[in-house]
Amino acid sequence: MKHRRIQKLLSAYIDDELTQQEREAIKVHIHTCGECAEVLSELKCNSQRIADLRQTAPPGIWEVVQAQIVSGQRTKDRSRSRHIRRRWIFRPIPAVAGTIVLACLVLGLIYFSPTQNYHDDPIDLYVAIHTDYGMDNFGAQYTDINQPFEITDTEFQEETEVYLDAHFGD
Amino acid sequence: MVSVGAAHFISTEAEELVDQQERDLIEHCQAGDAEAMGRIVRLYQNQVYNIAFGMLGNAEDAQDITQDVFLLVWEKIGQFKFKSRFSTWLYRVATNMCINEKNRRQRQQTSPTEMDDSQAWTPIDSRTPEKEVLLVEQQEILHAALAQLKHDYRKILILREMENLSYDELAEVLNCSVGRVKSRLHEARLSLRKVLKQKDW
Ligand SMILES: [Zn+2]
Repeated sequence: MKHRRIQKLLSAYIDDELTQQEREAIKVHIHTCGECAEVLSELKCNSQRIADLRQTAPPGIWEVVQAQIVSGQRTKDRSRSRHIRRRWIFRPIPAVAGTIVLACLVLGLIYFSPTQNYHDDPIDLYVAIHTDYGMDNFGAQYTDINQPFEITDTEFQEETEVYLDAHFGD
Repeated sequence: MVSVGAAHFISTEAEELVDQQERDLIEHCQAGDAEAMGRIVRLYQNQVYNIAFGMLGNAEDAQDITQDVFLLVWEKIGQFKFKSRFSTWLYRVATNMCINEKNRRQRQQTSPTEMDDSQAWTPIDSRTPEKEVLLVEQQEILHAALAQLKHDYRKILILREMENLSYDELAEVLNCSVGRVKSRLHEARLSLRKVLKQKDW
């Protein structure tokens, strides 16, 4: 093979992408042609130099991608984002804790509100405003502001105690 | 670092298993499974990062583009139909995004050879500091030389030398014949040699 043809095959020779015949021809030529031998060694060296530029990616790439995937999830896959929401909100422990916190807030608000003097026990008022019994008598507290609002039906009281024990007792 | 070259030492059976696992992962991604995407990112982040570093010449841009590539992959993975290897599809996305970024920067008249030396090179084994400085300088010269090449030349060199792609795989990524790969790769290497010679290398 001629020098020019050999030179064009030097890259494929480095990459071992030649036929046996071509490879042999190049080996023979290199022994007699200083120029081709020099080009070959330089190309090999440069290839190695680029390979040596390789390094490990910095940490945290997935975390950044993940954050953007999750924030963009709604447009990509609605059913999945609903699934995620459901999973978090309807877990039993957060749900119960949330209810208790909410109940405490409501009761606390009521307890410390100006009407507190009518109800020493906030549970009484809680029951009053959250049941039919309470609702039936709800206006009473406004008709006579000095009249304490009391639950007089003992049977109802027992029922509510059972209810409260079941839901708020240990 | 995971080297594509290592694939040569894996048996055909093991390779098929890896292919099947990868197919499962991709199908999970296509069904919207972000955890599967996380595994894809971990499998390919070094390759994509190195392509980006080679194409763009600095660590910060390489990191940004790597993240963008995987975001785009997540968005477009439904379009992957298993007609080519996933890696070649991914590398095509990566190189195209890098070239887009490069063009965008050139329109903004940023110097293409601008170097970022804010990030120290990761020290390996027992290199002395002087040797490290020399290494960083050499790497900067190389990146500057790569930046001077045509996009097509830079792309084929990075895919070949860094990612160790075969001529078949290169033809797939570059969407051309193996014959064209042969000639273009050789032209690219001669072009780099010329640029480095001008820098007295
Ligand atoms: Zn010759």
